[in-house]
Amino acid sequence: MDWSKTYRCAPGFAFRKESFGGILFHYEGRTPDPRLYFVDSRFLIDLLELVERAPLESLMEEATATFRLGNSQISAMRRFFGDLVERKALVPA
Amino acid sequence: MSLHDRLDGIVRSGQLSAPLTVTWEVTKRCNLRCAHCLSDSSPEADVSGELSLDEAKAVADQLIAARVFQVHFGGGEPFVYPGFLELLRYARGRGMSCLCISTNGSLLNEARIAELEALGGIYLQLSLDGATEAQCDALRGEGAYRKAVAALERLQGTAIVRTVNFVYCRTNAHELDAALALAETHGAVLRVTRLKPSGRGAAAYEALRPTQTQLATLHGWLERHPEVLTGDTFFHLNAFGGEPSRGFRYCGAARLTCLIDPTGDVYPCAFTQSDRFRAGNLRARPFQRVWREAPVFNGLFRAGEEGACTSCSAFEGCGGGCPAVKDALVGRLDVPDPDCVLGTPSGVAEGSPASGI
Repeated sequence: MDWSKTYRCAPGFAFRKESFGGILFHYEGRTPDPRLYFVDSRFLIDLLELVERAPLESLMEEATATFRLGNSQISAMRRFFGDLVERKALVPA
Repeated sequence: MSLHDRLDGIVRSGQLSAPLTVTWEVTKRCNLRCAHCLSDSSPEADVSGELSLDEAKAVADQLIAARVFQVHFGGGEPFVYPGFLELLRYARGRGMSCLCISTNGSLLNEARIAELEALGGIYLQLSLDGATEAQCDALRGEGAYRKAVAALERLQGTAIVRTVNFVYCRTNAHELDAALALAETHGAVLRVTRLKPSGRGAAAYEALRPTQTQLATLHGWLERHPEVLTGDTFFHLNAFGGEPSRGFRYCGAARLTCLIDPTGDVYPCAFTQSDRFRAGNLRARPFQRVWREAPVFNGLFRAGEEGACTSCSAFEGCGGGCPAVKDALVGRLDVPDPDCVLGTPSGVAEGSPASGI
């Protein structure tokens, strides 16, 4: 996991905001079934919309400073993006 | 909380801003004339009034704007629609994540397959309602089996994800194992779906609907074959008990999905294309407004659908069954699924002759 890179959504990955947070959709193109994930945090979905604008580390640092995030929120944010990169939903830009 | 429970809560409360998937029948014309066709398609189908390619691209833009994740193109035979590949390229270029195509395979030549593979994000569903030529062609017409198998052979070695779609009928029920083997031999996943009484399927329904014994057999078979997909059409079998099906335990129409017909009319699903359930037309109103504002998508389709079933111990598993089958056979939604496996007055009798198709 390289936090210094800028990432973009993989071709089969999409997401959208919902009243409860958001939905992630990942069609990997290896099996017929896409994967669906539910995200309870609208904040994380908002951040995801900005993912192509800056390296992940910078994006998270800026979010941490701007919104004065606590340790648990920072951990959740790192886990969220780490998972997406690991699942190849986010790929290097 | 499982994914299913999480989704269940969201979906039942009607919270989704848009469907997850949309089925889009791009044309009613088809080069086949299957006995059980859900949309009454044929080579002579009237295509006047169908969306032009430019109009179809505008609809694709609306679906992308609504962030619909997956569009399932069907028909008719979608490759008969003029400019279909251009429409796919357009949707893919605009960011549509997954383009699913339901086809009879007869027009899938090498060039088209190469184009689809280059596009990426394609999921092909090939209809093959029998593991033998005789059984398949009895439903789909002479030559259908050979053309579909030839398409499967041409797809061998490509990266295109594909399923063999098998509509489970009284006449082909005994070929499930062979259909699974046929699919696997060709690098495909078997996808078994439920026959519905819509289109020509309405006239053929009594002759083709599986018996209760066949449904029980299917239920056990699906439990033993978790690799087989069902398109979430067999949730009514959960009433048999045991582990609920892997997919949804109720109908997703008007909650998770909807249908666009060739003229731009929007309905809850492919099997509810009647004036009663028409939600609007995309030439007159954008997709997102239809989804948000049409009474059909705001409770009308759901009103009373659970009916007499809510007191049944199996209700949590089957959700009362398929609204489209209820509407087609009974004309009401507040009744049990006519194919309820626990038995209803309209349940099919054992040993009914499979004839008349």
